[in-house]
Amino acid sequence: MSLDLILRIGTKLILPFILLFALYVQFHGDYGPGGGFQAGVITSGVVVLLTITFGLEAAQRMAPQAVVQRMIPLGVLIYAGTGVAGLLLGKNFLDYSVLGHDAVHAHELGIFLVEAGVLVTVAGTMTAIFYAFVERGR
Amino acid sequence: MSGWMHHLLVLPVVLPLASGALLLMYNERRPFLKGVINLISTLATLYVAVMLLRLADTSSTGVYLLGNWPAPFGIVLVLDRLSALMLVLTGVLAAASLTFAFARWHTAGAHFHSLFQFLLMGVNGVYLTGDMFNLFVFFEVMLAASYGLVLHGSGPQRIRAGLHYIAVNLTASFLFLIGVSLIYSVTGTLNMADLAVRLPAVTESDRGLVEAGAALLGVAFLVKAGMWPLSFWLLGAYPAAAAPVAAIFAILSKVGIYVLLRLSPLLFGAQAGASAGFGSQVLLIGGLATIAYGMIGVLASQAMARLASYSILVSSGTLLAAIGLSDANLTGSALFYLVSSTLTIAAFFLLIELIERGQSPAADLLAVTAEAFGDEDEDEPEDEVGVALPGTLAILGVCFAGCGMLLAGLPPLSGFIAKFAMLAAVFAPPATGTEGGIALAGWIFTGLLILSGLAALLAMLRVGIRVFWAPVDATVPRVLVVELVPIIFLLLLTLALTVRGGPVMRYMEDTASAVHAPERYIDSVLTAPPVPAPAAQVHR
Repeated sequence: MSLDLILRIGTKLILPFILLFALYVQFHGDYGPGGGFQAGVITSGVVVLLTITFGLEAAQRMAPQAVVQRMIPLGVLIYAGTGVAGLLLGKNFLDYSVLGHDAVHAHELGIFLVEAGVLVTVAGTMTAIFYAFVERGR
Repeated sequence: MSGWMHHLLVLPVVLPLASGALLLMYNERRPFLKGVINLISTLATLYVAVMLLRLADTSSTGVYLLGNWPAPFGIVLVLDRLSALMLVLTGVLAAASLTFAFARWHTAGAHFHSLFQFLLMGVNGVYLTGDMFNLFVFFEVMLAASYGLVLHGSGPQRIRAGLHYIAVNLTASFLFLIGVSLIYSVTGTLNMADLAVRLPAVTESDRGLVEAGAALLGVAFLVKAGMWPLSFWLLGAYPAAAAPVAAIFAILSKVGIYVLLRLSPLLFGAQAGASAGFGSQVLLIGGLATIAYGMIGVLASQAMARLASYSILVSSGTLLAAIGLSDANLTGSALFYLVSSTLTIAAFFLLIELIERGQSPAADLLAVTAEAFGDEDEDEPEDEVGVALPGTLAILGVCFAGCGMLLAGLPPLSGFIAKFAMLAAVFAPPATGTEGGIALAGWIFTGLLILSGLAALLAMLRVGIRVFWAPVDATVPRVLVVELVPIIFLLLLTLALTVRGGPVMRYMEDTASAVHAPERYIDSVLTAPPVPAPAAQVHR
């Protein structure tokens, strides 16, 4: 594996673009196809590719277990926190319209935050499942 | 009502969600901290539930628009007497089984506390939601958490029964999803109130499709409720689950009952046009068959945990038959029975673990568990849990006798009142339900109800004599106070149900009449205005 120069260099070249594409899907999700779930899966694809090419140790240096496992609840907390923020500002749970100076911007910000929460949780969960499978065979 | 009271409605879902996620942040090396967070969240949810119960009892239906979107388009949470009652019951069971788990079970596997909170979130969400798809989502949250909990504590027996449980319930969820999409394809709405309005207007050619969808939904709920041919999974999963898990699972079969009780009068009540009464015959016959099956099982079981599981079937069958008879008076008494029997069975599951601790098969199982999970100290499990309290056997015996009287329906405790009220309702039907078939069903129901009580009495007496009067090995089980307290608490609650029988029954009857006259529910949901200011949205 370590001798496969083309694969290693190719992977290094393509990784940033995968992440960029994940972010594209994420931000495109407001008004088009895409969103946090898809972006989260693509993000965790980065870890999968890293593991296949450079091995589990390299992947876990980049995305340590402790971080991955805390990403799962963190996303949920971002989601719930966005809802509770609306509640604390005097509106209903998950009503975003108080988050900005006018309703359109507020809704965009609200959806952005919620989708960010989804991204974090999905990326964390997918990576954790992948780690669990890879570590089984060791 | 102040603006803040109105937000209480969303807390039974948001509190467990937030605390469950928070608990995932800490790893298993902080059991005390996690336990404290879990306990605070559980008690706070219970407190909110009690406040909601009072709210629901004074003003009728509370509607909460999530994200402030108006009703048929956005997702609504709806609070009425029925959902408030179930919230309180769940909160009580959660508090009791969590307290029990602190003795040893909460460290017997990973992520117990998070799963517990997510289970509460799912169950509470099912009670509160007014939207079919959201119902599916909360059902899945509940089931996903229960998959983890049923395996809690590990061991081969649990894995075998647990995988069975998971496979069956995944299939049921699949049917649920197909049913929901069939209904949506015809009516174009999934809001329950809106659905009730649109169902009578469905054309004759589409009616079959809607009813097929409803039947698929019904199968999914009946699997959860444990109706006879669909209940085979329950008898493996519940006895294998850890005691506090089995105690909280006592509410899960009632979740299926709750949904049926909510949806069948709402969608297929008298106002539903051509579909009126759809499925009630199935519920009635299935319920009666379930009572008979559970009764035979109760008589045939040797192990106490199996006896308790069959008692769940008897309880489910009784409730299903009562829903199938669809009579408001009977439903009121059946709700009383629901509360009483759920508390009893939960207490019984907790009690069984303590009684069997002194006996060898359970001790073997615990030893296997400890070995599999790798407890640090290799001591005998009985030695690490508890001390031989003076009079332990007497306390356990009294609790056992209480459970027996409740299951059989003997006078001093609430089991008697529940069964008596149901029989009274069967024998005093209103003028509307006096067809010949209904009367026959009423007689069969009466007979099975009395016989199932007798069966429970016989089985409990037999087990009681074997364990308390003529034990083969007279080892006193070592028990912690923290394990006895929840059992006594649950049994005292049934006593309180008896003492305060009048007001409780009044509440149940109000609940039942609201369930059987869903116009007000529909009206409240569909006219709930999205408000610009944080004002109260609870309507008369």
